[in-house]
Amino acid sequence: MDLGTDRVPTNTSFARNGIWQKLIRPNKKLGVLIFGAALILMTTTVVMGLSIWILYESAYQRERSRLIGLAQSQARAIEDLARTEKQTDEVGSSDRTLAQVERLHEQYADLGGTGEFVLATRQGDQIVFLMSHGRSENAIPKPVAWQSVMAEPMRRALTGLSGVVVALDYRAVTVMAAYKPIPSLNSGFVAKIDLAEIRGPYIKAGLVSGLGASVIIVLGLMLFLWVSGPILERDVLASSLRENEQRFQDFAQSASDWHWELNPDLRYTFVSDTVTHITNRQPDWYSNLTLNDIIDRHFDRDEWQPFFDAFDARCAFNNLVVRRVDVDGSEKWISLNGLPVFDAEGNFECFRGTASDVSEIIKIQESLRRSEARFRDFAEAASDWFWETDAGHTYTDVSGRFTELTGIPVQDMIGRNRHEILKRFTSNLPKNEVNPLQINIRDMEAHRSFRDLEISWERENGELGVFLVSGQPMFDENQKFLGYRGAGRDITQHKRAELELEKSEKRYLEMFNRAQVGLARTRISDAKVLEANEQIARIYGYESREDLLTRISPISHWINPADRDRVLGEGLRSGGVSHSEVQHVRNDGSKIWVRLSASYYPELGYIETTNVDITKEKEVEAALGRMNEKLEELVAERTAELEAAQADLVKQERLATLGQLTATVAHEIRNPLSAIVNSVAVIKHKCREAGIDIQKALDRTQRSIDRCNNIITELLDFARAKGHQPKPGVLDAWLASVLAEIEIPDRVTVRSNYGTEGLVTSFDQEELRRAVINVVDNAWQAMVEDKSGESDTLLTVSTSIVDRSVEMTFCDTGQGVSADDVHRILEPLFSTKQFGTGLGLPTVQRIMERHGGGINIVPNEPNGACVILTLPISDGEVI
Amino acid sequence: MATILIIDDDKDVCESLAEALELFDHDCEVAYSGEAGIALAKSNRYDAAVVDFGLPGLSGVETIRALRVEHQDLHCILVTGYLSEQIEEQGTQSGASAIISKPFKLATLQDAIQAVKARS
Repeated sequence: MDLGTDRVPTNTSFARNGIWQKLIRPNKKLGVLIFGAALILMTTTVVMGLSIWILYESAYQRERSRLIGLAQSQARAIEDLARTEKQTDEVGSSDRTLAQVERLHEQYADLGGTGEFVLATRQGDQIVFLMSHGRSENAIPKPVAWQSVMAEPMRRALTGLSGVVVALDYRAVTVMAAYKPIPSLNSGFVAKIDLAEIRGPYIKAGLVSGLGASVIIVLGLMLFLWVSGPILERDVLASSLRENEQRFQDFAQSASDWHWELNPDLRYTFVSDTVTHITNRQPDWYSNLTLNDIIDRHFDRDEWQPFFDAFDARCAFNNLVVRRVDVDGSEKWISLNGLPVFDAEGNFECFRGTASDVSEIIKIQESLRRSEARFRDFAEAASDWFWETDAGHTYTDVSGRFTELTGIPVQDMIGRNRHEILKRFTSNLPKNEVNPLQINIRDMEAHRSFRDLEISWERENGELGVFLVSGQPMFDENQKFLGYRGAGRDITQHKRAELELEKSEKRYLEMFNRAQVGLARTRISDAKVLEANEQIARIYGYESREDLLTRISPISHWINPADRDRVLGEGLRSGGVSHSEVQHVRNDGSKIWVRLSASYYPELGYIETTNVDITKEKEVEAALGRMNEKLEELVAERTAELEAAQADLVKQERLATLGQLTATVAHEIRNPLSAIVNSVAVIKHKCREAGIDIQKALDRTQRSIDRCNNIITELLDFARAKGHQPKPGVLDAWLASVLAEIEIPDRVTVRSNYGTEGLVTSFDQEELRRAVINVVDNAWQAMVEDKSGESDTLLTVSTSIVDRSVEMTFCDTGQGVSADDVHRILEPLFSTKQFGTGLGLPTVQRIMERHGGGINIVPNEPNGACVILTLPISDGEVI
Repeated sequence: MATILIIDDDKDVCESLAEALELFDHDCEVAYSGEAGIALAKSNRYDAAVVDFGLPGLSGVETIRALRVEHQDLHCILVTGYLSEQIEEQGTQSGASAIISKPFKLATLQDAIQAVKARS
């Protein structure tokens, strides 16, 4: 026996196995016979019908011709009679004509059963019949209305027409009628016969002949069937056998199985063609081989032992799977079925059976086994455990993971009912706790699936565990309940974490509600406030957080929508906003400043904000700002004063240093000057005694010595650091005495105008004296040095009181001070004079400043300059 | 005519002044320090002393004060290159009869000498 695995392509069509074929096949011959008989009958009927129709048509035409002839001849005769009677005697000619016509018609006895001549005239709206002949009753018909559908042939004759028509006569019977007008009698003539009379014989003949033919055909067929029945039946059976054989051959060829037959010597006596597709061997190839030959080539003999046992015992065997190894090493698994065949006497004849390639099934089974093992490994390795119960809720399987999670051995579960388990592992739970397992029993009894059922379960060590259990009912194909399969998961740790989280959330909520800053959670999509604490309600002027949550419209609290857009935009970009200070409006309309921080949670769809009312802070800040501004002003003012004081100090210090230096220099220079002066005096005396005239040279020397001394004096005056010692004095009188003391050239006119009227004020007389001398010296020197000689040399000295100060004005008529020089003239060492030291006016300025006053130089109109010395009037001085 | 003691650390000043005063028939002796002047005054009698303010060792004021203690009839004239109120006050307190700023005109000194002589 060689075995293969290729399938045979089928050539069996679906139609051949159709229901219609099954039904029609046994009566096929009878059907043919019936069809033949029907065909014969139909042909016979058609032929007979056609013959009868031709005969009828012939009779019809003949009757038509006859009626036309009768109508024409009768009408012509009546017309002639009428014309003759009219020629003879017109009076009563119509009646006479009618009488003759009646007589003539009496000669026409052969008008047929329904044949009739009718003569009628029109009288108004009626057709009035004048004569009727042929019918047995022979009475004149009643008039018929002109508009009636009856008497159509007569209506046509009376309208002057002639012809033949099939229509209703005056009795409303369909007739064939020939009609003709008779003008001379102003009437119409109709010869007619009932159409039924013409047709009657032919209808009768058709019926009789058809019925007869049918009877004859049926009788013939019955005779035929009686004679040919056995022959037909044998043909049908043979045909059926052939079909069945073909069918089984087709099945065998198209089946994945192949068939074999072994004789008692284990030699092949039959192998079906399909074996070729598996082994590439023709069935004939097996004819010379025994099963043992095949086993030795391709099989492990041990696997065949069940076959040999069955063969020896002459009993059937099923589903023996053996492995076939081909010459190229490829493997196939063959499933074998077989049964012994005995003859009528019970002698063993052969073993017949089928074989099929189950390699794919074996592979699938192997794959399934591996898959099952894999899934079992997964189940064992999974964090979940898996369980299975039967229809009575008794555990049939529990994965090992269960023991790891609960400490309960799997053996303690297997074979136990769910109720027992429930009772055992939940007995120590608090009495008031309704275990979900108890509720779940109802679901399981109803065979409903359940998911994520949270149960508390006491572990073997007494510790309470929390588990999630899911289950799915199993049903077979008939919806019979088989049990449950499900999984369980230990969520104790998760549960603990959840409890901790709840506690944490509770703490957070307490903190949230008790927080001293306003907290709120707002949905991004519609700006609805989802949560808020009491503080934020207080900040925005609501009665409570519930009041806020009910009524708030967050957008309405923004004074400036641009602020909101900015904060929202910034928050959405960066995930949050920190300490953004914005102005909001409270519920009562008052404005507040809020320091806003926000965290955005777009994945959760909300924003959490902290709001701190900083209105008071802002007010304090504003007040502080104002104070700061004032302070800054004060500081600036004081700084300016300090800077001025410092500058003054620096100046004083510098001047003190300068004074000290000048004093030393003056002393050191004045000593040699003194020696020079003395020596010049001696020289002058000696020269005078000797008669030597060097007086001019000696005078020049003396002037130079004076100039040097003046320079030293001015330097000392400018840098003098002696203490300021103001003393009260009458200013006008004092000024007059100083002016009188100054040596002023005669060409200079001095005019004084004192306006202080005996004012007594404090001033350092020595210092002010030096100042006045310097100013007056400058004035007369400016006028004396004026080369023009045209200007008046007038020095005007005046005093006046202006705003609690005394102004001493010295105006000359010299060349004046140019605009460029007026700003520099108070600078030390700046001089417009040929031999000036440039310290005179700066010394004056310094002295006046020490008095709290100042110096101002303005042009004198039309020429010259005015120097104004300002001296503040000290408090408490009496005028 | 008077006998005049000139005390100044500047020899040129001393000599030129002595030479000039001799034109007015005065007898002059010079000393170049306060101490030397005081020593001369102990051994000689002078009508007037012209003392410079800025002397090394004993200052001019101290020298005058010492001379005035020993010789109450000796008229001292304090001369200084830098006449200030302070120096003026010190000179007056020391007993100087006149205080003259350098460089002085010979006539000014002569007037001062005449004045003090007249007072005595």
